[in-house]
Amino acid sequence: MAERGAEDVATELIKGISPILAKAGTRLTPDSSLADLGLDSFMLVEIFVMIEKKFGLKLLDSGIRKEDLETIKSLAAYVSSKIK
Amino acid sequence: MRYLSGLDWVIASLDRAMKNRGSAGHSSQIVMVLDSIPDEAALRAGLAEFAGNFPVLRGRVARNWLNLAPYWETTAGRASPTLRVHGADGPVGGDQSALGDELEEIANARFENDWEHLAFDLVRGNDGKALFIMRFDHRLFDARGAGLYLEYLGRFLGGNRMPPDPGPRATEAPSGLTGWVKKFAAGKTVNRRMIALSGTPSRRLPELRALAEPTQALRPQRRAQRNVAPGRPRVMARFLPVTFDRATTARILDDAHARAGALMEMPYLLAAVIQSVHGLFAGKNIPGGGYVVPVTVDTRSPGDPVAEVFFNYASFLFFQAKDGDIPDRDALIRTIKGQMYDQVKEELPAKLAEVNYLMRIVPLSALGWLMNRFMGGRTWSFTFGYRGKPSYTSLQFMGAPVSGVFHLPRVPAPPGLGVFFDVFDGRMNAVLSWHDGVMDNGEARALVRDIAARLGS
Repeated sequence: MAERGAEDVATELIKGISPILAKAGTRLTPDSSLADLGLDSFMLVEIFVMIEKKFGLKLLDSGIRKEDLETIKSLAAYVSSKIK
Repeated sequence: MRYLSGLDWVIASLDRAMKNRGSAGHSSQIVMVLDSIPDEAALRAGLAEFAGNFPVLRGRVARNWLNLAPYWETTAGRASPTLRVHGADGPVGGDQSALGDELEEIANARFENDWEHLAFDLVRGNDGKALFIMRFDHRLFDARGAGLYLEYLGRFLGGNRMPPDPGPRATEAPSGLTGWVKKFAAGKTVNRRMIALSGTPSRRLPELRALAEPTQALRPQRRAQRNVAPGRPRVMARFLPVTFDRATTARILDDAHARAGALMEMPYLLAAVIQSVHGLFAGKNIPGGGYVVPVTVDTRSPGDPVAEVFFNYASFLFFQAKDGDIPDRDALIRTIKGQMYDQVKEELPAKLAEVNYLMRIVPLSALGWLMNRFMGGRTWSFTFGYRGKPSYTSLQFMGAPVSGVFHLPRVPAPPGLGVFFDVFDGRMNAVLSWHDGVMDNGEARALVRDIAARLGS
């Protein structure tokens, strides 16, 4: 159940992250590396704002780790774990 | 036609104001430390050949009098950037903070005329190493764009003889004369934020008399006079660069992640700098209740750098630290992060970019005054920048190993003071940039020492 939840979250994250990080025409996948896409602190906050709007979660001071930001899949797993 | 964005126009205004006050204008430098000295003749020829591919380099700010929108006017002829060669008395490959005099002399040189926006210097050290310095006009390059130009130049000189196609945005951009409702609505958000920032009086260094009273010789009688001033400029930009080694950089980044969160280096560094600057300002008994600091954010489209080498693609976030916020670093970091979140949530950087379009109708001569009024007569305490991912990344330049790259950004005055960080090849650089006279050398060194001591601790 949690696995399925994370997949759905990943799909939503891809929709939200694409305009922030992806070059036009690039297709993101759950395995896309956020670092390779050039993620910095400003873009990360943009993603946090997007997550708040989509999922009602505030992640800014949640203790999210660098490992959770490696890929869209890892971020989705983190977000999914926070959704109650 | 390549119309200028609102930010381009603001930069042009700053350039004009800085020149009127006696400085070399709004230009900055990228300094590359090379472990061997490149062939001068090949370098000179290569610089000219590469630049010849970009007609945009031979341009200047102009105004379309039909719609009042400013644009970039290019002229016939190939750009041929100058290369000056210097011999340093000592080594250049070691401690960059010892190179201040040499770098400042180069940094304060003026461009030859209003059509020149790029120039190079090669400094040969007696240690067999060299500094290769690119001096760029902010009207045509922002920091990231300048780094990209240098990156593509390096590839060209290294054997990839195909220059990048700068794409249509180098020569075409819309006039931005539509969507006025959206622009004015954006203005409400920006205005609200500026009012909130002006509530607490922010500290800033006193303006120099020289800045406030331009001499007769520098009053803009003619355009040519405004841009080609004889002799040494009266307002000297000063710089103090410091490079941290890999181990120290790793320790700083680990501390940043632990205290501020993953990828939150900017709030961490800014908090440390605010604490250090507070010490300087307190020592000078400067009145006020806190600090307001603008921080640049890059607004380029993701993943398409070639199309946006030329002109400016940035906006700003504004951070306020009141005196009560400052002593506790972790609380200060949380405050900065919270402000960042709020401003991103209200889309402040994008709205500021929209609002800047409204500024374009104002002549350059009046824009500085208007911007000051917009800010309620207040100015920033200092400027700050952090670029964790450099746009120049190659470790070889014309066959010479690149052992360091750092920026020397010039700050406008006011505020006359800025602190900038970037990272190259796993090593963090910090640069203190200030106007000669706003503090003395001892204060500058003490400030840099204090900042360094706070990082990673």
